[in-house]
Amino acid sequence: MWRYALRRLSFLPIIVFAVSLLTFVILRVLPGQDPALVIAGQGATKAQISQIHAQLGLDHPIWRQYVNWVGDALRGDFGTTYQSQASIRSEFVRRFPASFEIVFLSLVVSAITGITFGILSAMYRNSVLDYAVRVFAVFGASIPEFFLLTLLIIIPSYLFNYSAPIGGYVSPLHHPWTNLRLFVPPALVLGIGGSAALMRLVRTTMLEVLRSDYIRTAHAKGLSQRAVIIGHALRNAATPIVTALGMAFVAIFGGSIIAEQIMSLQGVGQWFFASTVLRDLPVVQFLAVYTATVVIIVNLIVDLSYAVVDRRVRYN
Amino acid sequence: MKPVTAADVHASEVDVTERDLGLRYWTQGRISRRRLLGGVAVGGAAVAAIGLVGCTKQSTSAPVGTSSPGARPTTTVNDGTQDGPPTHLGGILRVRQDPVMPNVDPFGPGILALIQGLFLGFTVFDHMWYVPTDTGTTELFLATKVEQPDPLTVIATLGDATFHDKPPVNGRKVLASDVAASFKRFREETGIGFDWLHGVMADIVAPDERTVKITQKRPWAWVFTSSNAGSPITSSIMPAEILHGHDDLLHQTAIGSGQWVLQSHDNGANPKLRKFQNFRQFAGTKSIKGQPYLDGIDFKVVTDDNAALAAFKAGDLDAIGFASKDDAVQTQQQLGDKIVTGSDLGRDYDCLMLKYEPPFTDPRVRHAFNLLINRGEAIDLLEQGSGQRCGPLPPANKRYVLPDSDPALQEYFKHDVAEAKKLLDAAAFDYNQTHEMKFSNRPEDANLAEVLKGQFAKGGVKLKLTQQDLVRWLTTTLSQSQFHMTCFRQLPYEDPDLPLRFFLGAQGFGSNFMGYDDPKVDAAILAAAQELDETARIQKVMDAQRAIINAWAPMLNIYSPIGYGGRYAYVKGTISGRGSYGLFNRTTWLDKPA
Repeated sequence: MWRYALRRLSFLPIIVFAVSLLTFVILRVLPGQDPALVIAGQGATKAQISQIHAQLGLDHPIWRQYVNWVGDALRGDFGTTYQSQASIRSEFVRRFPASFEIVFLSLVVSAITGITFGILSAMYRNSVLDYAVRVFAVFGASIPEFFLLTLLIIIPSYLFNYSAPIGGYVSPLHHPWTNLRLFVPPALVLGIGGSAALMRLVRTTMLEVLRSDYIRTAHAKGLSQRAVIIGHALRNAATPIVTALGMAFVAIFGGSIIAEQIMSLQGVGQWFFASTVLRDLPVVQFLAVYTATVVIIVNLIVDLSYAVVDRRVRYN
Repeated sequence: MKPVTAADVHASEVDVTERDLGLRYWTQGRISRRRLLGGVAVGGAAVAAIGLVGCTKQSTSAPVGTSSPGARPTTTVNDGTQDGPPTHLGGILRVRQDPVMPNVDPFGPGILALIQGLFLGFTVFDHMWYVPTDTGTTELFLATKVEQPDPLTVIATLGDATFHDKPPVNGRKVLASDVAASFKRFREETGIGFDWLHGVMADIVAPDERTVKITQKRPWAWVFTSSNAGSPITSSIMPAEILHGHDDLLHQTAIGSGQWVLQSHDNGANPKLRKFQNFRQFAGTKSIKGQPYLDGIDFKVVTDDNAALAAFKAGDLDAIGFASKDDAVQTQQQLGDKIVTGSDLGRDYDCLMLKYEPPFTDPRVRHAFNLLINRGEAIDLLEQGSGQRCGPLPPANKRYVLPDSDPALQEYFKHDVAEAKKLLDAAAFDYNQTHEMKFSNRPEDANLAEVLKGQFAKGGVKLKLTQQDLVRWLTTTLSQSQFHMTCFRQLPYEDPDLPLRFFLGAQGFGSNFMGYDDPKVDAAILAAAQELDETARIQKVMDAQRAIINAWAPMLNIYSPIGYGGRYAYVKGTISGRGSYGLFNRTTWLDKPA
């Protein structure tokens, strides 16, 4: 398996290179993307814009700019933001915890909700619970996250004058309760949104498995329902579930941008958004590469986990 | 206690909340219910809440929601003393920050100077003087005396003050040379076009430690106002030694001599301000001993309007600018006497700009287009009826704006589709031509474009709407005049100078966005700008408005929105009805134990 993992990892630089190149070119070729216009402002002359181009190295041919960027990136220097002149690396480190916590908690909510209710729905097929879960799954998949999140702000406020904490990220180590109040709403919304597809997949897969001969045999042997479901059925249904979890992660990762914006969290997603609006090319470039890397690694983890959840899978 | 009208609340907020100084919109692009995403708004927006809602305890009748479509709200002027002396000194005021500043450098980059410069200009930096909108009279700040020995010269004498105690300045004395250096540093910036610095100011020097001498290239009567040498941004006083070669320092902290010290911030977010104990402690002027009364102000980033409202209702914010009249009414109903709400007319205004090119070179076409605009309908559709029709000058400029009874203004506000068609026919207008109208993706601009398209369609005029992202629209379409038609909400200017200058041809300021140049209009605007006598200037400003209307100059102003704000009743001593002057408020106190 490790050889397989290493082989997969060896593709990472190639894919990251492709993504970075594509992003780099697109950011510079598309019309209306000149960051010098933003930096120079309304009253700038052509000479001043040219001067800014020179300062930022944008007067070089694109290939040269890219080579310079790659050279710096390989040394761990991703440059500075145009907006604040802060180091991109330090800014990323500052913003990462908020984004990580949102994505992590959302994934936990997504996994727990999706798998639990998917199993229950399959076990009690065509019951009220089953119908409720299916309706909930459709609801979760069809309602936009920003709308749900807005409702989660408006309804408690209207009913109880309640508000989630404001004022930015609070570490769980320093203020665990405040941190939970801050992150639970977006985690619930993103998690439930992500769990909808998972719930349906788990239900379908479990239904198929529960009809299998070996499940009937397990029941005949007198195993408890719990042992049958967890020890036999779920284990055999795990492979597609893991795949769905990987996909849920990617969806949550994207959804966190909106969640951070609405919850006023200074995370990586909000940074991505603001930098795109203000043509902060180094930041957009870095975050595009970061996103690609994360998605690739998550996919690799998903692939490797197949061997863990299903012993029949062998990576040679 | 003085009786309070609905207008009290919003008075100062109107100038600088997210609705107003509009900075919010020049910079960002967040999408909220009624506005653009964090758009480019006003750094001052954050500050706005300081001066927010300057009324005494709300009367039980008629809080918000009393304005009818097109009606003028009544503004009560409060100077901060209306609640009497403070019963509790100290405490931290908690207000919203939106948008987030990328850093705390007042010099930008680019248009970000508007956000950062305004935020710091109203808090951390001091100024020589400021002109409240209600009186138009120069009020002295750091200056203890200002003279204008001739129309081209202004001499200010500074009082004793020190900078904040931060390295490398370490609380040293403020010198006249700091003022001169700061003005010059801002003149080097072109990010948002400080016209007065470039087009009017000849030089600024410091003959001695206490004296600042400004010379102008031409007489400019508006010299003291916020569009000119009284700008909350460009008249900010900074230590000379950090103005050049200290970009890192400028990004990380701000050192001024204003009433608030910047204690901390997260790369521009959630700034905390604390009282400057040595603020302007010179004798000879009105005593400000003990001021500001508050210990500090905490700004909290809240990008979403709903989240901000929730935080206000939960008591996590002490004041707020409401996103709509409905929000204000509902919140008042929910919280009752705990809060004070109110409204005031904004100084921002919606407009339609026509490029001075065929068919808009024909005044009949411009006149016809104006007749096709139904301002009342636009206010109803876009502002829930909360707005006021806008002539060449926004109606909040009360001392200068033409009275409603003025025939020229009545003609300007006329909506008559049949007459418009006659004019278009007479001008051989090509009804088959489709006219492209560009606008930014701010919701207010996009909504305005849709309304205008419908209104013009009634006159047989076809519009093609082209939406652009805000930055592109601002830096390319508007700034480089790359449009045929464009509509947008103007920033809230506090004097008639800038709103009139939009119509001015190349008279020392470069050409206007429309490429329009009319000698009669130019002469009228310049006559007003060069009239030093206040009474005579008011008349000349009115004449300029009439000249603009008579020429059907190609920027057609539509309406100014009414803004709504609220604060908890324990927030006392606010200043209202005085424009952004209220943001320098030192008299706010919290009527509750710290």
